[in-house]
Amino acid sequence: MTQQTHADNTPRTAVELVKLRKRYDDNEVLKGIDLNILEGQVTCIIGGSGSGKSTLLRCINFLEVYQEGEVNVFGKTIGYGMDEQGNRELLPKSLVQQELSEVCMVFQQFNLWPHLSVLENVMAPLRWVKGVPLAQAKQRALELLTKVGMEHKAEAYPLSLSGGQQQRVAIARSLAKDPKIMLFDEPTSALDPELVGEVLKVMQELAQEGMTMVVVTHEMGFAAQVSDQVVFLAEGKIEEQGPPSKLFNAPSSPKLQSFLETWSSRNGAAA
Amino acid sequence: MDFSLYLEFGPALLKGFTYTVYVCSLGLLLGLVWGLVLYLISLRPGALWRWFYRGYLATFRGTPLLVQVYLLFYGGPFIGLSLSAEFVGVLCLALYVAAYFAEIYRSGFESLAKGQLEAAQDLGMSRITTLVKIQLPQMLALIIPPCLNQTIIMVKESAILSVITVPEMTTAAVRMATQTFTVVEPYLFLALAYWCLNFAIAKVANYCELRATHYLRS
Repeated sequence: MTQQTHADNTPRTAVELVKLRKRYDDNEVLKGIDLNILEGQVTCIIGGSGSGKSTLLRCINFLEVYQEGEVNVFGKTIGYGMDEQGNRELLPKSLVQQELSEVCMVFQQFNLWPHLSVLENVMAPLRWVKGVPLAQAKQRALELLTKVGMEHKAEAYPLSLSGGQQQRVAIARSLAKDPKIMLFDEPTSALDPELVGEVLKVMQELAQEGMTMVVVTHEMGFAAQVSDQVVFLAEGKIEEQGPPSKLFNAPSSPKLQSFLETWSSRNGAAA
Repeated sequence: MDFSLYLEFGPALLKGFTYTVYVCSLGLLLGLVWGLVLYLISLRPGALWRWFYRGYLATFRGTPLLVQVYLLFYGGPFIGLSLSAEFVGVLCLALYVAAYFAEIYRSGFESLAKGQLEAAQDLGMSRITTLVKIQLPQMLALIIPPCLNQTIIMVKESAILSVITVPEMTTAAVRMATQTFTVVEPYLFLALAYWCLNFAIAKVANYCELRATHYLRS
């Protein structure tokens, strides 16, 4: 696939999933997913638990090895190459990491390294992956922490922070990789309700700056406001996809209708 | 109590004490390294490696050190292994304690949340960087207490080496007992000496643990 020219200002495809299939032994979790994600757009993936939405996201950065189909990032197939006979073969991890140098993930459980300070966590990808000199790395890390409003906790250790603060640090750490595409795997699901807002705010700012984002989320409000495209996953297939206005206001699939009804009745009761 | 006996046997006992420190240090060092190798072997795919690891643990954890020392020292010559008592002593301590260390390493590595490693992979960190910067520092903090326990046990078990005449402090004390027909004086020395040694080891380990787990308290 060749990259499109930007003369007409059409955004190019950032991530393309082609007939993607993923199995755990006999259990097929993704049953042929086709999806196009354009550069600079925010795509939210919603669906019930077990629908395969996290697996789908984790196939994009190859934390899960898929068996069939393709994951293409900026036109390059991730995880597989061809051997001399033209058969598909798994690439070594270090090569896959190189292919994914523009992709980064934010995890539900933050996954900060508890033995390193906040600043050291953010400096880690700069120092230990990119080889940036100490002073420069420190300066850049502080910039990123300022961006997520966490510079005042630079010297603190992750376990002394609230969940919302940890997640903001984790976002800063991901940004240190300088990604073009960011994957968010239920970034607010492990947070107390009052801490969700501060994380969503940071994500919204990233979206406004034009970051390509793929977000697995249960935050329908965020999906409705921020996303360009919403994908509803059910039983390992895309049940419905389109702009948020269409999916949330006029869902056509019965599964999506009942999913949204369940969601709004539960959240209505809580309010 | 005849304290004057200590004047006469003091130098010999002290020499034994330093030899105990020497044998235990060497045994500990080799045990720590060999334990790591054993742990890495246990990670290898393939039934042969797994059986070797299981067999090793069964042998060295399942039989008394006394028996291992006897068999290697007196049985060795039958299979062409004529080794000095000192060599057998250090070797047996290392082989014995490594079986325990290997399992301690396993528990240390396995207790780290998988997500931390996924984050490292996702951020592009190489496996060796992940091991050195992420896994080892946290694992060390976790395994210091069980390693300390095991080291203290090993130091006390090193008394067994006296049965093959390794010139450590139990050997020296037993010699003093048989030469002077006393029991209390030599064994009182042994009690105090082993206690001092283990006390010092515990102090060092506690200090290391405090340093290594700094991040959990701040």
